[in-house]
Amino acid sequence: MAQQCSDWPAALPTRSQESRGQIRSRMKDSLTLLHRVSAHPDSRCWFLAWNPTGTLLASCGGDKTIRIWGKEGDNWVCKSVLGEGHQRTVRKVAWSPCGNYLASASFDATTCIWMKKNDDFEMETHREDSMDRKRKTCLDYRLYDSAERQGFQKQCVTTLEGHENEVKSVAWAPSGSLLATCSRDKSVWVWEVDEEEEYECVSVLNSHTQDVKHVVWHPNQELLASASYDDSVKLYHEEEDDWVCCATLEGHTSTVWSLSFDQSGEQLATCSDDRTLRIWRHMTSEEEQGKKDPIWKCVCTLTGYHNRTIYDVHWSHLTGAIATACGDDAIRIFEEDTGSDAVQPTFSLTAHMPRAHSQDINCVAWHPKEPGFLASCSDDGEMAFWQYQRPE
Amino acid sequence: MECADDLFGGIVMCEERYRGEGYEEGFAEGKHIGETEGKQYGAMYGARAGSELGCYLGFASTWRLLLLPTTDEKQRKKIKILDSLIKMIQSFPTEDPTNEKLQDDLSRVRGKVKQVCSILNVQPDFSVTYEASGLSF
Amino acid sequence: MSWVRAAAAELQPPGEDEVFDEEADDMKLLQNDWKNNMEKRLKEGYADGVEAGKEQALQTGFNVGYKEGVTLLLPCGELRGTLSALVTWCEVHDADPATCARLGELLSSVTQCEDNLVKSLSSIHRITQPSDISSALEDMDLTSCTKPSSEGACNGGQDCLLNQESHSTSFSRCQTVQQLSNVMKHELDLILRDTIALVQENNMSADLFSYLQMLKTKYCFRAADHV
Repeated sequence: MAQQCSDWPAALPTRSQESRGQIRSRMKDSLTLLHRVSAHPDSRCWFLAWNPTGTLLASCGGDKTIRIWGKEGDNWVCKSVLGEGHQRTVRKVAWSPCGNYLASASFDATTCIWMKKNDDFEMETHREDSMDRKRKTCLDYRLYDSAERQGFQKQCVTTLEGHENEVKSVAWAPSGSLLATCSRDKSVWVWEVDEEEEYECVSVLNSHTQDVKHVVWHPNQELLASASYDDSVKLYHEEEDDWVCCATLEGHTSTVWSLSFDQSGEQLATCSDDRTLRIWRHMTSEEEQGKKDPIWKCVCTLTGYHNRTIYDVHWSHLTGAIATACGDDAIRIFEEDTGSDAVQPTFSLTAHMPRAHSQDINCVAWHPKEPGFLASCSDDGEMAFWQYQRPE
Repeated sequence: MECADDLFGGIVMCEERYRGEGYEEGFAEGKHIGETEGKQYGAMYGARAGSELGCYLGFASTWRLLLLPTTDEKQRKKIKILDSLIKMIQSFPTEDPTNEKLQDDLSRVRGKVKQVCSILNVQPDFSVTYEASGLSF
Repeated sequence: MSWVRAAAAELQPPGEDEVFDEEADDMKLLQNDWKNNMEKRLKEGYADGVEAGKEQALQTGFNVGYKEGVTLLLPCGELRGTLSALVTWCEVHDADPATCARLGELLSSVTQCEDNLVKSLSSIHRITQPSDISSALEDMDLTSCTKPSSEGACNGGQDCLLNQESHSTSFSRCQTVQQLSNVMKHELDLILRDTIALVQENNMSADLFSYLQMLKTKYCFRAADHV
């Protein structure tokens, strides 16, 4: 059953000085519910990640497990449960650019790397034969794990240790040879993986003064961005064989929970406990050409749309739409107004789904191949799938 | 009235003189107190810095010597990172607590130490608690 | 404050002496008021002066203390780091358990030494003796644990309190930073000697042996016992 999107709120949201958006008068039907799935029952569902081809969705939760989901016909089916890796909540998962590896960040202070053994689910028949053989030989029936069947190794390939406490996020660089993790211990770690699948710590960055909530890589450069409880966003790049913080983005007045680059990597969306969504732009000018450190400026602040903390933001690389996950249980979509000035862009709210979930929404994730297809997950343990259509 | 003005002026002058005398005496005493207090705080902060940096230096220098020279690429990488940590500590402004870059440099050293421990695959506990002063690093 | 009265009297127009004579009680009150007033100014000035003097001296005092603290703890820290490295090296290479245990003990010793050092340093500074008294104490050499001389060592033997008393006591008996430093060097030297012996026994890197010897020299630990 499709849910209707709400009518335009009675009170107009306030605008910041930096942004004067157009008012959209029609938002009905722009966001439609397709499916709702109980992903991590009796627990929180913390994060969702689509694999690069969009055939699989990884979810992770407070029940310490990672689940791999795939579509079978009209249904979302759990293809794998990776439950042997972590001792505590799994907070984030991330697929490698090649799609063969999954990294998971946990409150148990470790990051696990899982390897997908086969990438062809159509080979299931063959798999089952070997599984039957295994079933005959293994002594404990519980050792037969659906993970094996669906092609994920039951044990994680590598465990990355070093953080002093909860790992909050993990992200893979577009090259596939670098990984970043961040933690409540205020540090950001950069890891390098070689051809032999060995991971080595390349740098430990102590630039933030508080809990680091999220890390993301630039879509096409080796530039790393982190968001923190210290209200700032920091950017890092490699300089003379060492990683350094090359920029600090200040403006939010409370914890920055998440961040997302647009497709070009020239813009960055950040969301915060201060209930605003900010858009930052990479400034390039002739004078800056020679300088090593990039300059980023806040070019738009969206205030008044969210009633609670904004926990996640995701910028679609297909359509340019920005989705937000909010503590008021609603999903919102924003789009840049056509013809708006690149240096002073304006954005409008194009969809608003209140009560999208029954509790705080922790994550929103655009499908990498299907325009407008969105997944969300919540503290209520559920994940939901939506179709977004930009209103006329 | 002229005499009243003069008298008033005299009083003010008097007040200033007394205030001034008091000030000078207080200043000398305050200087002594400040020096002592400052020294106390400084000694504790210095102790922490000396202890921490000394520890990292000893740790890195020792490991550097325990890793035998080799053609193994991985081992050479470890040696290179150890060398860069040692260099970082040796160039640390230990004598000057007012150096602005102190905190940043200390963060960098700490980060490097963590990296070294990660690549050596060791988890030493460098923390020290000093019961008396209530300081723990 | 007779000069005040004299000054006031000077400024009095002639012929008003009777006023003073008649209002003798009022005069006393005025004098008291005056006295109180001036005392107040004195106190205010004093308080302001203390604040200003403190502010000026705090940073310079801090810098002096900082250098002192760094210099004192650096050798201790370096030895602790060295032992930590040896302990972790043994763990990685699955070395002989007896050696591991011994190294662990030495690490605990140096950590304990550091703790005592900091405790004593803290209490030295808390004693707010005027500087002339403390230097007199030094001259009198009231603490028999070490001589505060350039030699930096006591002669050992039965008379030496260091041998008889526990480490923490010898630290706590120190009244100056110099004495602390001497005690520390003695303690660290003992630990370092044991470490060197252990390294030799286990045929660890020759470079490491030289490094440990170098530490001895670097921090002017006692070269050898005078028997």
